[in-house]
Amino acid sequence: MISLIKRSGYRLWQKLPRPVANLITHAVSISAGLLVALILHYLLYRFGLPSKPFIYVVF
Amino acid sequence: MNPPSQTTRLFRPASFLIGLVLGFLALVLAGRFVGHTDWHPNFVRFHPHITSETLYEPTIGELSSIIRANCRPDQILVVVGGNSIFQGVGQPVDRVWTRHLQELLGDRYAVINLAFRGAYATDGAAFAAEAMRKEFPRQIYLANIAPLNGSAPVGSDTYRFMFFDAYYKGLLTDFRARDDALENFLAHPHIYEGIHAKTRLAKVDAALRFRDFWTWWSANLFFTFPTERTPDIRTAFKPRNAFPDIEPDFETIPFEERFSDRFAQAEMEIARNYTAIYYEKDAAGAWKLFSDQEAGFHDNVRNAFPDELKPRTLLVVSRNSPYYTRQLPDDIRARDELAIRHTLAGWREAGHASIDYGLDFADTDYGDRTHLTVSGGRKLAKLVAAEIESMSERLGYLSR
Amino acid sequence: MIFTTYWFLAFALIVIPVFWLIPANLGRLWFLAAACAVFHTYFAGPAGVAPIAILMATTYAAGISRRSSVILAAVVLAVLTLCFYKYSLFLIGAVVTPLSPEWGELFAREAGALLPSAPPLGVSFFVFEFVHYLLEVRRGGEPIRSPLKFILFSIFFPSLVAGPIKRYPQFLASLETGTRRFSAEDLAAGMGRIGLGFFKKILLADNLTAMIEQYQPSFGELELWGRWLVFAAIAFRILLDFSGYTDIAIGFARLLGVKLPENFNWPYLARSLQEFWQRWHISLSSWIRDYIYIPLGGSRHGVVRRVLNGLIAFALCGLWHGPAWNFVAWGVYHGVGLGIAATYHSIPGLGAGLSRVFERDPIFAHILTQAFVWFGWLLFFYPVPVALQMAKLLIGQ
Repeated sequence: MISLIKRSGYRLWQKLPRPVANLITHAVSISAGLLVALILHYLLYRFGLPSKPFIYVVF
Repeated sequence: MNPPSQTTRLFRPASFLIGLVLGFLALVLAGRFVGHTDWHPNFVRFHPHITSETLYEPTIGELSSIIRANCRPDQILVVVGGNSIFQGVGQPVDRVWTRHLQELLGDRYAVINLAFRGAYATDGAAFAAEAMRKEFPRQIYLANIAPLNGSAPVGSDTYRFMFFDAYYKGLLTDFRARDDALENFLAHPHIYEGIHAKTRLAKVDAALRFRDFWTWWSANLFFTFPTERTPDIRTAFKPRNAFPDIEPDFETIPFEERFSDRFAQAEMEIARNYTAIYYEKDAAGAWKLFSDQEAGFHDNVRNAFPDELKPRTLLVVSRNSPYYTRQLPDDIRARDELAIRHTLAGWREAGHASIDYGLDFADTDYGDRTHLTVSGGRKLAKLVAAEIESMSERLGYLSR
Repeated sequence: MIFTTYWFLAFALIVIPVFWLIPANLGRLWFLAAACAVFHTYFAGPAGVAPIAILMATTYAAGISRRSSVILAAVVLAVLTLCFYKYSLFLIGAVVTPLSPEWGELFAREAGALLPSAPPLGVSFFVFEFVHYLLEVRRGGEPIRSPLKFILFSIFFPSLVAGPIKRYPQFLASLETGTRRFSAEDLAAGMGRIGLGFFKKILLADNLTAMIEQYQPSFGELELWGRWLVFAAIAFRILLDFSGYTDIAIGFARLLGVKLPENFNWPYLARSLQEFWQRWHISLSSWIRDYIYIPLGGSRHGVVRRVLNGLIAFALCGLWHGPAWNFVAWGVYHGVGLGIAATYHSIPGLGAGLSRVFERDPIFAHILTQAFVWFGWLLFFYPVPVALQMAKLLIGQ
């Protein structure tokens, strides 16, 4: 089933006009870059948080 | 999947890198933008779900935006700092003492409660008020403080992230004692592992604004991981603004149950030793402040707040609940009163305003040894309002 | 986790740009070796540096000598080092204590006094890499003569802590070609891989861990669907955690122009246990195959030997993961599974029938394989009685 999907996808991909295929690849790559930027930016925030929270105790 | 041919491969490195750079830039800009927006509509105070207790670390931009959203330019800004006592532990959000303070002061003033549980007088709220000193030059900052306690100019370990945030974004005034305290802090190993790393990361954050952006995200969209106080995964990812302020009301607890045996003994010991480390008895049997403690206290007082901000700073010295103090021997009560007088004098001599509270308070005005009930909060508000009005006159705020 | 420390972030932000700024012929690789040494010293501490330094020296010298006896002695030394640091207390508890509790207590006390508080950083990985190197040289492979390249092979920081386990010919080839010139493709691929790894580890795996920690203690009180949800979380947590970490390691190596071997290839798509082990922790399973299973005889001496060799290899594979019986149990569990997977088709009637079913509808093979693997994770993470109890609760009891 999965290989069928893969084969169909590849055939579809090959049928696309070159400019469209290029556009898609650039768009996908840019999107991937945006997503990685989001993750790395988030990691900087996460790195800065303490591993244990401050626990306030009412005494 | 068979790999696409050379001319139609899916991954384009250059485009990916462009996306990476653009993404980062966009996030930096977004961080700067949200850092100037108020994302706490109907803000009253910082409750546990929007504080360090649940790994939500407010930013100075966030505090500043709350101030801008709740104080008009024609109003005198009153920023309330301090710890859980001033945050209003035991007072439900609709009857917290700062609401009553606002009612007493009227529309001429804008009272904003930025206190944090466990914070020092010089923490978060103080830095936010300082950051807004040019935008709101007519301002009063107040915080509670225990007798003869100092407050580090760089704040407490728990909330130092707010100091770093303000400091590295260049929002604070020049203050040599604070620079020295920071240098001293950085030069020595610290028991709080990773705190020096937070300093360096704060410098990076001043440029990349990740704390502003992701704190905004955590408050408005979703939180990204469970914490000890939010362990249930069904609710852990909720945006923090979705959590209400559900502070329980001390006054719903019958008075007899507020001082249960479980805590009363330990609380009594604390009350007994409230000012013990500062005093000794002289030859005549009178209480005398240790000279090193006295010197230390005056140093702390001098170095807590920048000189230009001292006149507008009100330190409110707290007393313990009369339920406990009444049980103390006379000489210990006398020592505590002496400590309060020394404290008031110390802060005033250094150029601050200072009052105390709790002297004529009833047992029912306290929910435990230190925290006030709604009725206690109302009495506190009355005392503080009177002093704020007096300060406003002294500082020339009322003539404008 | 080392990759999420501030120190590592600062280290990477300095080392990687400086690495590329240094001309290739003016000490770029020496700089990298020095940086790797700094990394190792920082995280391993002085007590952790000594074992690897000694093993590096002996392994290097043995490789250069090309003498079989010397190489084997170096292999024994490396394995003994691993056993000492990681398995002393376990072996004392397993072998000595049952025979004589007094002697067991004495040995444990003495060993405890000698052992550091934690095994040397990456000991499981660098010992396996040294053993691989030595055995390949003994089989006729070319030894690494350059001390610089040997140092880099030994303490290459992206893979030092948690793999993947490197093969020296591929590593050296990649080091040779990849580090010559900076390429945008390496940068993009590296950053992408790092981003993916952190996403899997921090955003997915850590949150699944929180979910598991919340619900596993009250596993029996959950509804059946809730138990299966936790069960799935356990399976996906280990995949995301481990593969995420590997992604980060591969990503950082790629930023330096070095391609490390892939360690995971969609293992939960496997339709047989053999296929699973070709997709899961590939660098370890191939090491086990090449240096334990095949030297024991592999599948060359009949079915019984084949199954036995598989059991031994996988028991050791399990033990490699940690000095505890549940890891051994997990390894044996997979050894048994592999034995069945290799031989079931020869069971008269049933075997052929099952083979036909699996060929016609691979989905059944897939489900059966994954059920086996996922139940195996219960043994991996929990003491055997708890794992069995959880397994019973999953089928409704």
